[in-house]
Amino acid sequence: MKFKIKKASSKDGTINKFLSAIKSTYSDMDISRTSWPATAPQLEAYFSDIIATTIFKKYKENSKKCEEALNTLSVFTLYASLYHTEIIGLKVSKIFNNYPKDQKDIIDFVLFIFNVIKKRIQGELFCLDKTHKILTEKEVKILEKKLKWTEIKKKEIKKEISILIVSLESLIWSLYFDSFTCAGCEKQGPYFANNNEVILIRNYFNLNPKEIWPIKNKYQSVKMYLKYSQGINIQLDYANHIKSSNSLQDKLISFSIIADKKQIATLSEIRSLSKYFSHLAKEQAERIDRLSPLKIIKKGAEIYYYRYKNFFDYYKEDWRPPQQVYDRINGLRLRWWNYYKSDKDKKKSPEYYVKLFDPRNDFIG
Amino acid sequence: MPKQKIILKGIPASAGIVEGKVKIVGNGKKISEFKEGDILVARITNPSMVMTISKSAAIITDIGGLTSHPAILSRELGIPCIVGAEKATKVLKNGMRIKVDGKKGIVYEI
Repeated sequence: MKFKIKKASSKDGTINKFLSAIKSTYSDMDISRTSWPATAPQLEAYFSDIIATTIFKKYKENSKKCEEALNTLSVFTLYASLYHTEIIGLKVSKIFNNYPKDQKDIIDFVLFIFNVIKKRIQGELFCLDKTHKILTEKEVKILEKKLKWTEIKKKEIKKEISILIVSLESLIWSLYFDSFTCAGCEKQGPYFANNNEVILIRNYFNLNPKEIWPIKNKYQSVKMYLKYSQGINIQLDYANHIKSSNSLQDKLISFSIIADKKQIATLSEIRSLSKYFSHLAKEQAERIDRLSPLKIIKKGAEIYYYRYKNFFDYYKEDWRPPQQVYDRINGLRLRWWNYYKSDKDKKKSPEYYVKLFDPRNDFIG
Repeated sequence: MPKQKIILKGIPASAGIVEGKVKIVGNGKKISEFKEGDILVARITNPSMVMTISKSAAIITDIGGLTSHPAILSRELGIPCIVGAEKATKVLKNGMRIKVDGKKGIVYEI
């Protein structure tokens, strides 16, 4: 009996830490009002239970195989998909389909995902230490030696790198909607380099998702390794946002930027990339603004399923949303879109999200 | 030195002080008229404003938190930013000259 109590308490402790991370992250957000082109529930209400139960069934059938499949995804996709899609989806399915039957199943699944993530990271699991560390100290040292760094001598270069970041962030937002912080990029660090300088890694790993958009991006990925002078205060939160009390641009001292396999080092190369991605982002955003709400919902479903593409590939299954998703969207039309649209004018408290993402209750908003 | 009139307050999202002309962007307003050094004022930014953001001297938005799109991007660009000012697009008018203090989250009329 004593053992059971201890075990339950340890599960609660882990979940409480996760919810602390949610509270801290959502304290800095205004997500119910700032989302573009739709809020998460305006899209996810149509399909999150279907995705979540598909993954849950695979976990129940063979958790080891499920873990191998999850390991094909970016760790940042795992982080965000868990609360955005899987927790809510399973809670919804439990309430309306009585599957899973037991709350304990949902809790165990959530803890399983935490464990999968934990094996792949070096820092604190829920980023409560304000870092996202994937590499070991030794790996950072090796990387620092291996990379070709360009020292910044002109202020103009700092500005152009910032503009490149702005263009890339805007592009991935336009490609992956509000899940862009986990679907199209990874932000790692801050890592300590030699002389206490700080390295931040920004990896835009899929800038050309031609399976979901009619775009022709000549670049698949851009990796940015940015070195800042010591004393910079960079913090990352659970949702992969970067916060800093200093201007990041001012403290940037050197960089290594790789677009696909090409090293980008000169001002004109950086400028040319910024212009290219800015143009793509603007074009893509305008394409979305021309879509009807129903088409945005369907695109949303495709984007959310696309996040799991490698997972489904591992099972040799089609990653695309099943017909059931389209049938539901066509049947319900704008019901959930309009229902959650009214939320767009209300700022939700962090406590609301803590309750929403707590796998131990039936609250679904 | 004359006392400056505070016309707006919001969440300080990126430090720095600048002066410039207000340009309200969004809701069908033409982005093409935006000039380098203008102060971008919007309900919230979105990806279609990418080129405008890069030209802005500062950003002020009605809504948003410390990790919203304008807040993150302005910290990258090293420009002042105030988010969650609630009535920025109503109180501020196109062409108005203002001073933005991103550290305090205050907008002054000049």
